[in-house]
Amino acid sequence: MDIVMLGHSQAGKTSYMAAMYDTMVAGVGGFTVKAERPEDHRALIRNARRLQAGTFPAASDRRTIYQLGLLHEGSPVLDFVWRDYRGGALTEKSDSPQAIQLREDVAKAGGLVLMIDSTELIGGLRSMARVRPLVATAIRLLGERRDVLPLVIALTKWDLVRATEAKTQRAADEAFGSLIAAVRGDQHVLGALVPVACGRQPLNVVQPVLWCLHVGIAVRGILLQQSIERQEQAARAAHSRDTLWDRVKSKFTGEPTWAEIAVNNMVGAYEDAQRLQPLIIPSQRLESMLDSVEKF
Amino acid sequence: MADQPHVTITALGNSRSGKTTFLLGMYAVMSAGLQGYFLNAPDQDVDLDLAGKWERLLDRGELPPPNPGDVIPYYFDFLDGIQRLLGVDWLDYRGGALDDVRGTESGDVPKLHERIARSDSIYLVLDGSYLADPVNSSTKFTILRRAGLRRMTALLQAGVQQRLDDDGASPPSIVVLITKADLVPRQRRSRMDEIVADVQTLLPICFSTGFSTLVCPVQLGEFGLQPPERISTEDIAPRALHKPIIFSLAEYMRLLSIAAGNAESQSESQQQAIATEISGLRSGAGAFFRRSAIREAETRLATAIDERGSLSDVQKFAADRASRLFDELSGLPLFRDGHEVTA
Repeated sequence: MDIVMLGHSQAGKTSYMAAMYDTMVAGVGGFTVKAERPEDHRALIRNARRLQAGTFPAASDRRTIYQLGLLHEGSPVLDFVWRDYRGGALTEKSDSPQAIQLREDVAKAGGLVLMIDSTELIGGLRSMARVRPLVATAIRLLGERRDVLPLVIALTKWDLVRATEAKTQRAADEAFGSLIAAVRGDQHVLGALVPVACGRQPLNVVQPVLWCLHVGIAVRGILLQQSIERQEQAARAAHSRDTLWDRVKSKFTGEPTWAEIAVNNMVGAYEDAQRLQPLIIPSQRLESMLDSVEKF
Repeated sequence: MADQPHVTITALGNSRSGKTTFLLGMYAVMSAGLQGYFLNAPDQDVDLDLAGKWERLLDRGELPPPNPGDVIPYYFDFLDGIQRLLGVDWLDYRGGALDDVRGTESGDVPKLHERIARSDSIYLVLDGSYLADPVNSSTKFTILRRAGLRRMTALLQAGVQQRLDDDGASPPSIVVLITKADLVPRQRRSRMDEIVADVQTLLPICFSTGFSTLVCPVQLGEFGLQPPERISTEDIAPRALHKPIIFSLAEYMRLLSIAAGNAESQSESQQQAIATEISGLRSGAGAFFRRSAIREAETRLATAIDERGSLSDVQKFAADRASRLFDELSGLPLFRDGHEVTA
C-alpha cells in the first residue's frame, strides 16, 4: 500500500513522521510499525528524540520514501510505503520533476494524507489561500480515482492552538467544509479529520497512519474475499465437467483435466483464505481503536 | 472538450474594467470549494498562475497588471463534490471590437459574432464607477461610449440574430457584471432598485423578450476610485464573486431541464402512437399474419420507453441542480423577458 503525504513547507510533516514512527515502534494496541531499512529507523528515532527534547527537525527539502511494515502481536499484517513530499511540490509548475513524480505517485496511491498547520487556519482569506492548493489538488486527484481510498486531513500543531481551539475548529470546518462534503457524497473515499500534535505531549499521532492502514486492510480483505469466491465458483464449475472421457481425452491432448482445474482453483482459494485470516482480527481491532476519529 | 458537456461563457469588457481581478477572485473562491461546488483548472499551470496572482494580492496588495492580450481563453471543470458536472469554456474579450471608433472595422468582429452566437452566457462588464451617481440624459451617452456598452449591445444583437438564424436558439443568459461595486456610494448600493433602473437605461436589450438577465454587483474590497499600485491588504473583502458563474450554470441547467421535459413529452406521444399501432395490429382475424410487424413495433415501443425514462432522469437531474444553484442567488435582481422574478 502506498500512502502519499502532502502539505506546505513547515506544516509539520517531518515531525509527524518521526513522532508517529516512534510511537508505533513502541506499539499501540498490539500494533507495531517497523522500517525496512535500518538507516530510516535510526533517522526517524533520532528525529523523535529531538522532538521530545523540544527541538523540531529541519523541514525536508526532497521527497522522502519510507518502506514500512505493520505488525500485529508480532506478526506481519501489511507492508506499506509512506511518501513524504516537500512543501514546494504543490506549487511547482506541471513540468517540474517533483510535480511529475507527485502525479505519478498519487495516481497509484492507496491513501492520501493532507497536513495543514493549525496555527495558519484563523487568518481569514490568507488561510483560505493557504489551504486552497491542498483542497484543489485533492479534488483533482480524487476525481480521477474510482477505487476505495482513505483520505486524512491532519490538523498539525494542535497543541499550539489550545487557547483558540473552538475558533480553530470552526476555521478548519470552513476551510475544508466543501472537501469534506464532497467526500461524504462519494462512496469511494473514506475520510478522517484528525487534530495532531507532535511535541512533548503528542496527540493522535497514530490515527492518520492507522486510518489509512485500516482502510488498506479492508480493501485487501475485500479483494481476497472476492478472489476466494471467484475461485470456488470456478472449482465448482470445473468439477461439474469432470468426466472419465475428459480425463482420458486430456491425456492425449496434453490439456489439464477439469478435475485438475477444479483442484487448482480450490488450492488458490485455500491460499487466499490463508492470506485473509491474519487480516481479520487486526481489522476488527483497528475498527474499535479508531472509533473516536471524526469520519466523513 | 467538444465531446464533453460544457457551458460557454464570454465576458465582454473594456480594458481596466476589472475582469481579470474578478476572474482571479472568482477562481480563488470557487477552487477552494463553495457549498460543495468546485471550479478547477485541469491544467495545473493555469491553476498555479491564477492562484499565484491571487496570493500576491493577498500577501503584498499587488493588483494584477492590465492584461495586454485582447482575447484570453480559459478552460475549467465545474464539479459537484468530486464529480465533474460540466466543463466551463471561458473567454475574456477586451479587444478592438468593443471600441466605438474602430469597433465595426476590427478584424475580431466575425469571430466574436460566432463566439457570442454559441455562448450559453454573456457577461457584460460595467465598471462600478460609472454608477457612482444616478444615470441621467446628459451622462448616459458618455457612459455608453466610455464603457463600451453601445458596442456590446450591437455585438449582442448581432450574435443573438445569428443564433436565431442558425438553429432558432433563444438568447444566451446575461450577467450585467458591475465590477468595483465599492465605488458605488454605500447608501446607493443599498438601494438596488436604483442601480437596476440605471442598468435598464444603459442596456435595455438585456431586459427585452427572450432574455434571462442577472444584475450582479461584485467587489474585491474597498479600494477607492484611484487605488495605489499596492493596495492595503486590510481593504480586501471579496463579495459575490462566485454568483455570476453560479447563475450561468443554473440557467444552463434550467434550459436543459426544459429541453429534456419537452423531449420527454414528445417521446410520450410517440410511445402512445406506437401502443395504438400495436393495438391495431393485434386486433382482427389477420393478427397472426402480422406477427413480424407486431414484433417490430414492440421493439420500437421498448426503445421509446427507454428513451422516455432517460429523458425523465435528465429532466429531474437538471431541474434539481438548477433549483439548488438558484438558491445561491437569492436577493439578487433576476429578470426574465424584462420582468423581475425570484431566483
